[in-house]
Amino acid sequence: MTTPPPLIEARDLVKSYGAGQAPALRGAILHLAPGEILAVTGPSGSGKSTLLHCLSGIVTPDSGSVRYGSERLDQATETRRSELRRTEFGVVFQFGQLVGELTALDNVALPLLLAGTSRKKAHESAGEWLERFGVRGQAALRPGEMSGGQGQRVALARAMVTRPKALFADEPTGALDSLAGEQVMTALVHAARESGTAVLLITHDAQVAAYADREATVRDGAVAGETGAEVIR
Amino acid sequence: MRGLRADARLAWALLRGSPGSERWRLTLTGLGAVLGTGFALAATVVAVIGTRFGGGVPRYTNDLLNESGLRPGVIAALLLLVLPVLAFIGQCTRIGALQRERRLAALRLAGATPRQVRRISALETGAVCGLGSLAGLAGFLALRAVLDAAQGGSGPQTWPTDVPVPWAAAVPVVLAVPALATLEARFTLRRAGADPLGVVSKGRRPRPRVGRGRLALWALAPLALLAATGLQLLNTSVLNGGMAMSAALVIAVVVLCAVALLFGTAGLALVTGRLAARSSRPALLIAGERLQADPWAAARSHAAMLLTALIGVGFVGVRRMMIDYLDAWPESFAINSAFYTDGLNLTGLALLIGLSVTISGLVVGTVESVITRRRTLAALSATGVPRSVLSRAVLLETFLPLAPTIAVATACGLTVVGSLPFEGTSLPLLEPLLTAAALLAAALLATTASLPLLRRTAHPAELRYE
Amino acid sequence: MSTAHILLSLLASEAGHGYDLKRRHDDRFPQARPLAYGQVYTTLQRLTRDGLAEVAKTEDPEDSGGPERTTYRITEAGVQALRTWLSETVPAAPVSAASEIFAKVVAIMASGFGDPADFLRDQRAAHLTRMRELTAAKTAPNATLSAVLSADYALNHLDADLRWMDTTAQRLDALAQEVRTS
Repeated sequence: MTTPPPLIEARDLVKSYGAGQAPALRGAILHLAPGEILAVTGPSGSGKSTLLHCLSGIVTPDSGSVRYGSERLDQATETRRSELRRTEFGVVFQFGQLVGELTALDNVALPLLLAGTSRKKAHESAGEWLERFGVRGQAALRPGEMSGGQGQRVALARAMVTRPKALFADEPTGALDSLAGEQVMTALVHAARESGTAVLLITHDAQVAAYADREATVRDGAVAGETGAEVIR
Repeated sequence: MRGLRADARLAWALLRGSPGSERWRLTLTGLGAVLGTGFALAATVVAVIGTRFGGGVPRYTNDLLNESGLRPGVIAALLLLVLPVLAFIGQCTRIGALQRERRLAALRLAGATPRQVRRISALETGAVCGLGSLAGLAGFLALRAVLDAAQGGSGPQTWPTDVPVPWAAAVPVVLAVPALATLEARFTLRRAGADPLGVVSKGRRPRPRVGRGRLALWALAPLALLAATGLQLLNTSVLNGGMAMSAALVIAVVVLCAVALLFGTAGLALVTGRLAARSSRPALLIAGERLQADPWAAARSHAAMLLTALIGVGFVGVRRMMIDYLDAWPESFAINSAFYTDGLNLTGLALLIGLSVTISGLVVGTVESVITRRRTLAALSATGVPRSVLSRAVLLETFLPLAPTIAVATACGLTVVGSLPFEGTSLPLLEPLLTAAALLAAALLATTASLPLLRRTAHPAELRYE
Repeated sequence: MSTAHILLSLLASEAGHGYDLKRRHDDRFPQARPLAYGQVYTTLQRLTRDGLAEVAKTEDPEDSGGPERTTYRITEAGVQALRTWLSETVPAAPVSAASEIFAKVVAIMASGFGDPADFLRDQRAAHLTRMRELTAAKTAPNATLSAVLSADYALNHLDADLRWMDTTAQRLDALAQEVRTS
């Protein structure tokens, strides 16, 4: 059996924020296979989030490479990386990624609207995704008017509305209680499996990591070990 | 075009969901545009009086409009009034800057390109200022119609309503105000929306350090003052050149003083901040630390105030000396002295208008800074810092850098006035000093006006909201 | 958890007599019930019978002036048995396995067989594998609430073990220091 080529592959990533500061990444190597769910764990400050930012093209590494298919993300222009974020990648953070001024429906429709989809179509898809994550009833509310769990599900709907190839989730349940967290994680896993979306899931919580097929542990800016096996779907 | 329409829709959706502070900002920005348009349109009307567009020989009750030599002064004064308005709009742009930055970052995260984000925010400001500008035009036309009806048709008129509206100039004005405001907003927000992580990386940012390059800018302040003094001495003692030479030197001195004041504010904010931070009194300590952390914020919000102080003190001095001069030599003037006093009073009125715009800008600035820091303030309040201490800290933050700079501005103004050739008069001190004190008091009052907001904002319950 | 293996690990670093082994055991497992001397004695006898340990020497009470003392040492077979035990991860069971994991970490340090960090990593993998199975079972579309709740119960216990392992992994150096000096 041959393993398919990875969806995203990062090699020898080095990244530091400003001179004089210890690098957040020092030679991290990681790959994400198509459709797999990979948990990245590690103590706080180990460089997990920076790794996610590099792989999703939000920041560019100081050195090393990030390959997405045949494309070098670390060398892509800001415009191209923005385009990828609204077409082929989805991003979910612990909180704060929703636009506070927009309703849940507009928030979910945002990537489509930015890409030039007509308002009607965008709202249609957005409504469907809200439905799937069980927050249709909150469509007209703004993020400040929802509970944390509802907000995260709206954020997930927004990340998934473009049926991305990869979903980047940084502590998506970090600000939630365990029941709300469980609902968000279950919704995330089901949606990702159905759309064939690969997920890079950052967490410090083993119970969240247990939703993943594979776990990579980051220590001091490098991947220190992996558990679990790549699941080919 | 389709992209633009989508962006415009998004901008509109964002606007509808905006919190109160955002609507405030846009309302105030629009008001600024109304005022700016009004002043500029008035200037265009005065400009066409007596020309071939302006319907015959001017006959007004006010000689300022009749004399072709004085009209450029009136036009300049009206156009200068646009400056505090622009400063005010700039101050408004800072309202809710933090929230806006977060919103733009969230848009970026969802895949908006930097260009899209900038276009969306420019559309906001541009549209609002465009509306304000149109409102300004409408208001101007309405006022003109009302005045026209009020002063009847015959005899010399007070207001130049007989002059047709110079559309060739008015249309560019109506377009230029939103364009200028948009450019200004673009400049103020030049760094916003660059980083898609702006939503999450707050608090991780290092404290802004005072760079060496910026430190060097403060050195400009004493240098400019020194140069101004030199020119001043040159003007009064050495050179006995003509009127034009003298006027040019006075203008140069005033400009140098203004530069010195602007750059000096930051330096003084840092120095007074350092001194205050050594105090063991909590209010002084808080204010001092704030000033040290960002001395340029003080310079930014007080710039218009200082220019007003410089010009105001100078004007009051000149006015007193001119009136004394006229009283001393009544027979030497062909036109009666009422002409001059009228002119002086009108200029005073213009300055007062400018001052009120400036003070409004100061209020906006203080309110903005309180809102921006509400989490810090609420956290301080939650740890038991009495609200009175916080109020005093906010007042001190205005007072500490402003008091010494207004003193310097007063000294500058008086020095310039003292060199003017009005024989038989002495340098007036009382009125300029009273003016300076009044300005400082007005600034403090404006800051006080923002304190009720502080009371509401610095509530520990604020900590719950993110 | 097996007292026999623990005693073997203590013997692996240094031969000792019964009382000495009891003291070393009690020092290293302060939370555990102190070993009864009788239990140490019977365990040592069983180890000797199975060929895992042997008598190194017997001191005559006449010579030392104290009670009779038999010093034991580990045999080759004992080393093999200990290595086998230490290389096995503890079954990731819903009942907290932390005390046995702790015992193994200390035993690895005491005997010098293997790397405690490696052991903890393997143990983490074993725990996570079990947790993945439980999570898959509970998120299955047809899972009953009872199944979900029982999976949750197990998951939370395993999670507690994992947390303990994580913090222990970060303090291994200090622990090694302590084990070495006691």
